[in-house]
Amino acid sequence: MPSIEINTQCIEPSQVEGLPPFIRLPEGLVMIELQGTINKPTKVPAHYDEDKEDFIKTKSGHDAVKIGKLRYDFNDPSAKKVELLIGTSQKLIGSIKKLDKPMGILQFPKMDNHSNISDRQYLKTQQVQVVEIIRHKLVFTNRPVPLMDD
Amino acid sequence: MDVYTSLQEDSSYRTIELNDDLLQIVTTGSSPLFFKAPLKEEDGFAVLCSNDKTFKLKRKNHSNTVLLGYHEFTQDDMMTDNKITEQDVQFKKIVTFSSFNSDFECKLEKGSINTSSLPIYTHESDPLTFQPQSYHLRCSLDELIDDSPISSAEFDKIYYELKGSEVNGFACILSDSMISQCLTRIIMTIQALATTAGKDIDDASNYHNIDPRILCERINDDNYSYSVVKTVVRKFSSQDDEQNFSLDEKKVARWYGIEALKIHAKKLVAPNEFLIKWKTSFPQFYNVPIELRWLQGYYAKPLINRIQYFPKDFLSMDAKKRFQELFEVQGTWELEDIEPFIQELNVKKLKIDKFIIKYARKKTEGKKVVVMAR
Repeated sequence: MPSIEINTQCIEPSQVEGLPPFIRLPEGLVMIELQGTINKPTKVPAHYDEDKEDFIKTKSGHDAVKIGKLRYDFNDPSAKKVELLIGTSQKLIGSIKKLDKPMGILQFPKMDNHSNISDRQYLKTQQVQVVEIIRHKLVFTNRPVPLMDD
Repeated sequence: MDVYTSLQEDSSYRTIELNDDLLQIVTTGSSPLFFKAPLKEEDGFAVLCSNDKTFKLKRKNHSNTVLLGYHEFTQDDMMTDNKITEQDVQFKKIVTFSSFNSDFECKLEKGSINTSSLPIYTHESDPLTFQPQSYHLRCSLDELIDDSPISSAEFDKIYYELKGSEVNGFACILSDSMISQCLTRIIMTIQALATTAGKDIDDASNYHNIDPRILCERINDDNYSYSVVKTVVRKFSSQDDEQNFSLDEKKVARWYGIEALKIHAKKLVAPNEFLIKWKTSFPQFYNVPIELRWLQGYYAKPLINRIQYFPKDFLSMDAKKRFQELFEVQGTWELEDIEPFIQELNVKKLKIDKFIIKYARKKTEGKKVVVMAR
């Protein structure tokens, strides 16, 4: 039964007055729950419209594809409703939900081909990191509704 | 606010529900935390251990997709007096980089140690060359702690109770005869130390504040290493402080009683006759009171006013069968006599009366409650 230490020293990002609780500083993580799965391309297509910003490079240098646009009523910080516009024809209506139990985000060490998880000495040099504690998530569990042209 | 998802997901992230105990540890850093997981799923379950608690980890699957992402606010944004405007937010992006279809759920669990594969250390073993056999588990005490689904504080409490020790660098279990002989040596050494200090040999306080290291030095016998002495002292003691212990006279008396049952009550014996045998099995000058009921769970009364050694260790773990086995040996049991034999099978922690009537008949005779077969 190999064991590995968990480093619990995480910085809990703080909420900002006037902003919804899922936005926290600095660089707080966001949890989004969707019904079903997301079908996404495995790589950036050779030709696409760069002006539409459908594809970007992330901070870590990976490619990312746009899945939608999040809308929230910033005039009412206590509002629970959020919307996720998918493309130009559909939107998901969801809410900001406070989790019954806070969720710890753990990051496990990446094992390379040479590392052996039954090797006690190796595991003693590794740590699982508690990256953050999340207390709210965005939940979209309803079917998408069609978007009417303005 | 545009939402993006990374084409290459990072699978190194997992989510874990934090109950009150874990949230307190994570937010205050009050205890180290460890993951312990078996190499193969069939070998047990994964646990999360703090210093003194064990949590069983259960994977809770969900059909929805949960995405984890970051939003692009930076430390610089925060430095501007928290004046983040709606426009600021609208121009930022959320980028998801990991997705989950399960969470870890943690449930407080009693930690356990599997000692069944550990070697047995007996008097025949040479302490300096002691080696486990090939079919035994070969590991040090630290490795056993590492390999057991239990927190270190719980391990410390349970291991010595299970007669666990460490000899020649190997975790092992002390044989019953080894325990008996070591216990006798310990008691005699405590008496010798008291006499040397000019104290009364019968004084109960002699058995308080015992330091196993001092006892080991005084015993000065390779068979009784510090680790062995510590195991025996801790098995029969309550802890005073980090180093010192007090021998519990009831625990000591009970041990000698069970050993006396094995020798003198293989066949039917009168309780009074047995009590004399029990008392004489104590080391010289060790006088503590004894009561037959302290040995409940180790004897049966097949005939009126006769007892016989009858340990529960060899009885079936199936409740129905165990009741059958008990009634084969003794037709009618007093409730307090049968209780120790069936307690471990009452896993749902029902009231003992309610548990018994599922398998047997119970009736009141005067002030006594007796249990018999249906």
